[in-house]
Amino acid sequence: MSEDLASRWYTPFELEVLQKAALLVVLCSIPVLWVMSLRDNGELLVLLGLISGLISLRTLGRENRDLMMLASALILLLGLLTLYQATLRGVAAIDVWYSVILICSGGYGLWSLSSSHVSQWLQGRLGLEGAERGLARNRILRPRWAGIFTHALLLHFVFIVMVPILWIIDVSLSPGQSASSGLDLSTWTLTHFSSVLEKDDFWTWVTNSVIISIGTTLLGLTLAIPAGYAFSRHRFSGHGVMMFSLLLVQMFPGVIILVPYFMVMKSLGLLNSWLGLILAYSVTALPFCVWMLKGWFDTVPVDLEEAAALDGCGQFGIFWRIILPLSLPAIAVTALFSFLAAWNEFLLALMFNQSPDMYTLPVGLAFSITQAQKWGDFAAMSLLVSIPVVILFIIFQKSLIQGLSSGGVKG
Amino acid sequence: MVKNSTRSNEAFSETRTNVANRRAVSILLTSLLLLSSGCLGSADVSEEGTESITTSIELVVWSTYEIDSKEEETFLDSVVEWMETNPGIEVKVEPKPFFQAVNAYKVAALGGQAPDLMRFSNDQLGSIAPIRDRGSPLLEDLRPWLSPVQREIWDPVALQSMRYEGDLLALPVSQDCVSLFYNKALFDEEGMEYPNENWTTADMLDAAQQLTFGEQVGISIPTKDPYRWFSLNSGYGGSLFNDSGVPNLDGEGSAQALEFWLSLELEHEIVPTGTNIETMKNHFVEGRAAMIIDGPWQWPTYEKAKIDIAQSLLPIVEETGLRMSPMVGFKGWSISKQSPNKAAAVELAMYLSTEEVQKEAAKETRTMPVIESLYADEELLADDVLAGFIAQAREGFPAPTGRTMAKIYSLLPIAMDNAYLGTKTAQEALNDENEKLIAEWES
Amino acid sequence: MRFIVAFSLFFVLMAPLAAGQTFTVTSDGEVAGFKRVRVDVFFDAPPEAGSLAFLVDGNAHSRVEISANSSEGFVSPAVGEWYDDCWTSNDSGITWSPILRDENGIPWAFIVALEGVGIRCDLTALPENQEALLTVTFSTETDEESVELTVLASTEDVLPPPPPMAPILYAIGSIVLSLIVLFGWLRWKDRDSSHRHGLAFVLPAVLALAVLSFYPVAYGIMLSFTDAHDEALGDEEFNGIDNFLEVFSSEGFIRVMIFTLVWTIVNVIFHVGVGGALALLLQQKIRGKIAYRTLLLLPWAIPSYISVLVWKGMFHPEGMINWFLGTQTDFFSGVTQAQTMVILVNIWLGVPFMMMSISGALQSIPEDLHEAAKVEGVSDWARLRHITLPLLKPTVMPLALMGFIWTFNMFNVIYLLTSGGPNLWTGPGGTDILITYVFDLVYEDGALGLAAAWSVVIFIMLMIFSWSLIKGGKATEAAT
Repeated sequence: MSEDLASRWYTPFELEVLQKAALLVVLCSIPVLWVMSLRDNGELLVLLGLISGLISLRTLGRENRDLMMLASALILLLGLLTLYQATLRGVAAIDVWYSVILICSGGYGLWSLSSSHVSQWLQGRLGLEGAERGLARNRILRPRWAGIFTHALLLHFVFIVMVPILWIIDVSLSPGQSASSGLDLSTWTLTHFSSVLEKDDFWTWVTNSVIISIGTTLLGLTLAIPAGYAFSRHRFSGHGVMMFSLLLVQMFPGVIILVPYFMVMKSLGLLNSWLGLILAYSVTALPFCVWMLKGWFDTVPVDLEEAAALDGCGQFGIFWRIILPLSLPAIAVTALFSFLAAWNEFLLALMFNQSPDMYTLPVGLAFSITQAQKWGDFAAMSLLVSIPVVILFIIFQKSLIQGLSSGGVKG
Repeated sequence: MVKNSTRSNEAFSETRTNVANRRAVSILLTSLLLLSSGCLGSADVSEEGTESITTSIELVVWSTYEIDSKEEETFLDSVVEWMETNPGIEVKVEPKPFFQAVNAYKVAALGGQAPDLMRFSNDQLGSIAPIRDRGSPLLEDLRPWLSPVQREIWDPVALQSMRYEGDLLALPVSQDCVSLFYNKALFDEEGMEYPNENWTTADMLDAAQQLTFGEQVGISIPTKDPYRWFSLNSGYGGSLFNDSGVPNLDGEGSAQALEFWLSLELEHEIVPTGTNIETMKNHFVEGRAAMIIDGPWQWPTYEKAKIDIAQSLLPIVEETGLRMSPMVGFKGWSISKQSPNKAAAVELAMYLSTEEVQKEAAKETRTMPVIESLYADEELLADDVLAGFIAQAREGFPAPTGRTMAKIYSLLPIAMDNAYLGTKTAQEALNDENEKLIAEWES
Repeated sequence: MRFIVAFSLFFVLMAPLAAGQTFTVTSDGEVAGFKRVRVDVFFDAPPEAGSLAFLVDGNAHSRVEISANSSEGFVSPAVGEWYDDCWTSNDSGITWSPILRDENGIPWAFIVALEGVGIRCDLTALPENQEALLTVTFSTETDEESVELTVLASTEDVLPPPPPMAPILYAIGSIVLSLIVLFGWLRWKDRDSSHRHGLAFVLPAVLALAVLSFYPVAYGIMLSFTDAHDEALGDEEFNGIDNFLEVFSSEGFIRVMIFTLVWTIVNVIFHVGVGGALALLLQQKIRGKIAYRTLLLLPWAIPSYISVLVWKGMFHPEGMINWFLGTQTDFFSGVTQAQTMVILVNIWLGVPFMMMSISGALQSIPEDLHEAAKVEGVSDWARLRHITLPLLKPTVMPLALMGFIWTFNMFNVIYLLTSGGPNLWTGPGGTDILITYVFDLVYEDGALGLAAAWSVVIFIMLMIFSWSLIKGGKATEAAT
């Protein structure tokens, strides 16, 4: 009796992991299959890997130890074979990655299935004691494995994200101006960075970009926060139409309207100025900021404000002391967005600010792209342009991660 | 899911009304202020067209030189010298990024804020010249500004290249074209003779084959780049447009030129698969390529990479006896039609084309001059490299202007692709694209 | 008035010289055109062979060779080629015929031994509206004779009219006024409700947006109904819906529409999906969250120009991706492959932003809810489905909407990677989306009216889609 109970409400953690591993094998086999078809070799092995993965998935349901061990062994074997075949025909990174997945899954399957605890469970011979021990083990192991899995997944994404960026770093640090793919750490120098930083113009561009971006952020927030708040709290007439029309202006492609936009700026006397670009960028960022803030304010319950009002807090005080601190994550996101909209924008900066002392960083960056493309300088400057943004990210993450402490907003 | 609820506190809403009222008034005031300042601002702007009463003239010059480059330095020095001899004229040089300069010019000119002087290359003229803003073009026709004696200063080919439908739209200041660059060290290693001006394409093929082994590439060319292929095309007797200006890609010799070009990769396996301009440059910089076809603007990069580089004329085509003739691009200074200071601007442009200034630029930066008298100048010819560049340019043909030329750059790669993949023969591929070009040209 | 002044300014100077031929010079300062003066030289007697040189303000200007020999080997010039034409007359100026030129373009006049011989030249490069000293020197082998006179090229340069600012100011002024009126009216409409206060908060934002965006967009819409072309700006004529008909009947219209929709939908699904998944992953209790978040946000920080170009290099047959996969394919040669690759690169670019925004939104879900659910024994998946996702919806919906609009009009990625190719036919290419095609229309063809019509089509499509999404969102909101 107890054995049935044990097997019914307890599943060893290893088996859960194996299930996920089998799923992983199947999922990974599909793109690898496509790659192999491009290569015209190795499809058979991958197909077998795929099939074994599927079999493992099925057998895990059957709780037949021998079958499962066979499947695991098969996967392990296939992993080794893939690796071997790859060494024969020229190893590519994807072969290594795929075989590692197969070998690890297969290996783990064999190892865990042969442990006494799991075998006993599979054979239905695990007693209540064993089940209790198992549950305790589960509770310890699960978060650890979840952590490993999360880290592994995140590292994959980080890899995909970082490869181009590492290339840019490599080009910026290698001597010469070509975009070669040679990775030679010994020759890394800082000449590109120093040649960029020594340019007088560079600091002019930085100043202009900083002023314009900060201005955009401030103006954007000043316009968007009250607007978002009003849209959220008040259903005045025309509120829906206005929100929609904020979106509308984003939809018209900018290519055609460049000349009339130029004329509008000219008629307002805003050409060659900071204010002109600040206004233009704020307006570009406005729809997103308003919508984001409105959505956020929607989730902040009105009772808070009413309670504070009853306590005698002035309207502005409510806003400043209660709403804003609660909204820091959303404000951080919109501020960052406005800043970046201004920092990285090239076309309007080129068209509206014609004299060199008003150029921004993206315009300066474009100068490195000439007939003789200077990749080294360009990469170095791109990294320099990105550094302030990265610093801002790190700062803003504090607000993002901060979240709501317990007891903040109770429904 | 939290929902909004209406307020019920009267006193609360009272204060809010006051605040809101005040806000509304202040907004009204600011917007009126903005408007009026805009009116004032625009008043200034609309007066720009009239001549200034003071004697001081300001010229705005957009230069597309790379900033902090030697070319820019020489240019700015010449401008400063000119300003010294012309007190009362102030020149403001505004650098613009090379590839965006044309679009920026278009927007500025259509918006009434064009610079007085602008540096264009002659193929860019083709996209600016047809524009008519309420009937007037954007660039000034410079023919009435030159006397016959003044016209004789320039190489007639250069002058002609700056003309669009008869109008002279820019005063030429420099030219460039590709030629054959080679790595002396790699030739020395094999004990082979350097390329010289009597080489034929057969010699070149031979040398390339001998120099291709292992990682080394005898000659590296971007297989799908029309610009460099044009030189081979003219060597086989082909031309982009025939005498009446009709697109002529399917004409005599072009198919053979295309076949030879592609054979360097496909048949002789000298050029690695998928070489494009970037990889060609990399091959040469890394010292892997013995020969490439490239232009003088890349020369400093190769020198800096410590390649033992030398230049030679592009070879003569074995089959036809004609020399490979590259497309020569010319750069010159244009005057905006809306400029109120054209006389001063023309003077500056002419100054930049005087012998002294051109010679200085040639000596300092190896920029090829466009002045007839300098072609035989001893000092310049003493520099082998510059003499080589000039000699190659004299063997070239001027780049055609016009919208159809731009289409050639987008359609020709399709033909090259088709021929490369073998889906069509070279002649068929060229025929097809030429048909599309003719359709385009007729519209 | 000026004509009279100009005419009264020229006078004939007779410079009595030693024995030799004499000639008279007259000039006309407005008939020839801008910066040009027409000079007539009449010889008293048929001249010997010689050279007629013109000097302006002491500088050599041009010359005419006079010869008695035959005119073989000389070319007829294209009259008007350089505006410096010359003619000869044998009958004292009643009829003129163009002078021939040699291979260097030097005019040669072949004088017949008759009386009343004249040479007429249009001289270019004269200072505008300023008196200049013209010296005409006729030199033969034996002697030379000069005549000086003051000439004035009186035609003035006509500067093109500056673009009219008035319509723009009127437009902006009327927008501001009408907005204020509108807001006033809305406020009056809501006079009994306390909601009207919201209007004042919204006014600055709406005003800024309207002033800067209304005129350009309205101009663009107006352009789509004209036959505007940049070779005839200012001459646009309304041609009704011809542009739109051309848009809908153009070859490749369906193709580019379908790819644009596929591009947008696939991108948004992955942006929100992968971004959301990453945000959720990063919610968990793991170490190094800040490091992970910063690294994963980098594609958004680096200017997209360089990262897209780096991706382009990486996709090269000899590039990184092929090295990783052990293949040697040119990913951009086939249409489907190229389409897949541009989508993948855009996903890479767009995920960080979504990840960050959803992270922000996740903060709004109270921790207590999650705790309570865990205590109740609710599994992770169920927690995700029934608590997190519904609470995320109010923020994710507008995010997805924005993402849709931005991706629909995302120009950089495709243009830098493939320029809309492969198969750049005269219509849209294999990876062209609507906006890259519009760009080509404007900059390569200059067909502004047509491009504007395409833009309006884009605009309407986006409008319809977002309106239906919002309505659909509201309906589900009401239902919950």
